[in-house]
Amino acid sequence: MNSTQTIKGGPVTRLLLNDRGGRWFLGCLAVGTLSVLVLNLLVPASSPLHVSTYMVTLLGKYLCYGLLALALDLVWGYCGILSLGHGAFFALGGYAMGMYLMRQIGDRGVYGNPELPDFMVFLNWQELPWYWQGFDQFWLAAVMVMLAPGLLAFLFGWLAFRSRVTGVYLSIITQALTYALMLMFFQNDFGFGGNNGLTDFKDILGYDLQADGTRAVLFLLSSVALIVGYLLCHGLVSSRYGRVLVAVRDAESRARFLGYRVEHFKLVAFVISAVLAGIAGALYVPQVGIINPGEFSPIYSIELVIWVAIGGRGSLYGAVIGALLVNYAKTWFTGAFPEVWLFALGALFVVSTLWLPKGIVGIVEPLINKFKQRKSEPVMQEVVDHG
Amino acid sequence: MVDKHIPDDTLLYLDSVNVSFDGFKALNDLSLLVRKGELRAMIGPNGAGKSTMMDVITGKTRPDNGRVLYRQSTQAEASTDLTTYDEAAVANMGIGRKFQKPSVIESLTVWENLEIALVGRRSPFASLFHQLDDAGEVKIADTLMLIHLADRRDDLGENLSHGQKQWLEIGMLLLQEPELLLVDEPAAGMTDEETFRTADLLKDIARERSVVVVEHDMEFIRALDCRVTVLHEGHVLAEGSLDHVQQDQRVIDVYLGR
Repeated sequence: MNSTQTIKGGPVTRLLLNDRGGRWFLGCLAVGTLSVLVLNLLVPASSPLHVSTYMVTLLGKYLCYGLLALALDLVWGYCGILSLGHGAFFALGGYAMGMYLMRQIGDRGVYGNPELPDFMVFLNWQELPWYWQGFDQFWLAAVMVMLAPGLLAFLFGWLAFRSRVTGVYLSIITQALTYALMLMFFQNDFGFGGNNGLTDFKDILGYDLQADGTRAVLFLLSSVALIVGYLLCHGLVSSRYGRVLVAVRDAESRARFLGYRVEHFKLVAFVISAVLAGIAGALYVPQVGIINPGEFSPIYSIELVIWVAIGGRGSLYGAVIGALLVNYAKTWFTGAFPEVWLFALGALFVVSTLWLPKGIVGIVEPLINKFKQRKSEPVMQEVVDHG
Repeated sequence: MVDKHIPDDTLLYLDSVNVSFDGFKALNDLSLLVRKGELRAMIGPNGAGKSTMMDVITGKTRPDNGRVLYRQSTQAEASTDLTTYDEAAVANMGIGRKFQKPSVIESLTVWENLEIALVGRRSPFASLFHQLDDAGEVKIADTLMLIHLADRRDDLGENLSHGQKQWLEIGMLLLQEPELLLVDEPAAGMTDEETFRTADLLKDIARERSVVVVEHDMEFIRALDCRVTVLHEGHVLAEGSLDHVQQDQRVIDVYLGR
């Protein structure tokens, strides 16, 4: 990373200059997204090339998982914080969005109450609890999507990092955090629909959630969020801040004795990561049409860690690729051999831990580099000639 | 604040510091004075309290009682009590520490290791928008030359030899631009040639900064040619030139004679 060279172009161009893998990844993602949209909206359903809305929504869901994996990789891959409770931030973002969608139902619910969601009517509640106030406003929901996970991450991180809780102990308390939240959200009295969660959504910002156009826009937004999230994380990790994060991961006390306040660095990464996870959850909920306390279940958070491990911990696009591949495999397995999936997931994790410490990216990247090196020597010459 | 008379050029003054772990007295009424610009060697058998002393100075361990007075560059006398600060704060007051086991960032390159050590504001926000200026580039390039790693600048820390890691860590310490360097067993695991080069390097550094070196290797201490303090059971046993302490009967009894 030689910074003596002067680089022209906007901040994004500058960011991607040293990130060939990232350029490929973003390029493929953008092209893929646009292709899917064209094949879904412009190609008639009778054509074999047509991509069904079901598939668009499924892909949109994968992209949300990709953003979630990216968020985890920022803290785990770069800062060494193995969070086994990142699903909690995802679910909180999802609940904030779900609350807005619930309020959008209005009097179209089963009980036809214009003010109260169905489950509150069912519980004989007379008025909206204070924490549901204002969620009929999209802007408030959008703020809470980021604020709720961000604030929780701030409080949790502030206490944990200041007390220098690290390693497996930290992992255990993150796990406890998401488990505790799951139990709370299961309670009917807690006011978030108990074990049924929030569902039966009708529309978002006045657009029908079942409509092809709305689904396509949500898919597009998921893709855009992933691209922006990637650029943000890449910007973070390629700055001096990112190098200090790596220092914290590899040699925490060295970073301290260099004068860096390690807990602040961890906290910033943790909060940013939680906010990204919250946004992922918020985009996920309108696409799948439900959010329930199961999303807080520790098993999902652990699965998330496996996506990142398989894709490539410490590589931002690796984490996303891991999320996409594992979830595709999950969809296929649970369709073809539902009872085998958990074993397959376990096997994948064992394989990646034993033989692929750097995940898929760890085997693919060196191959590409070797290939490029052999091919690109004349090209390099050309660049030198021109420059 | 300073009640006892200490010399004007005092940089660091440990005043009757006690540390005990579960009844074991790691530091027992330890008093020590380091002057500005001094090169000091500390020797002592295992368990004499050398590492604990460094932990106390750098804010890692809080002493049971006693003070550690330090003179910051803006102060006229040693009036900052380090025992009330944490590691990052002490580091930013100008005290750099090299660990016994080389501790460089293995997955950053040599250059990147030096870059994060370079003196500057240390907050996450400042780090995020930090732009290396020309002066910083020059400092890093000079340090690379000094620690003989100029041709390894783009290699990862993990690919360096043991001795090179020790030097890289010293280089990182220098870029922090500390007033005082605490160096724990820099010659451990080095070849003879590397040991002497390291001694020369530390002597060079001591022209501009104060350096406290903890070391076992007598050849290395002799090469440093400086004042020696012998620690024993958390207390200063003897102090003076190497020849002087080597002739001290108590020192021979507890340490050198073995």
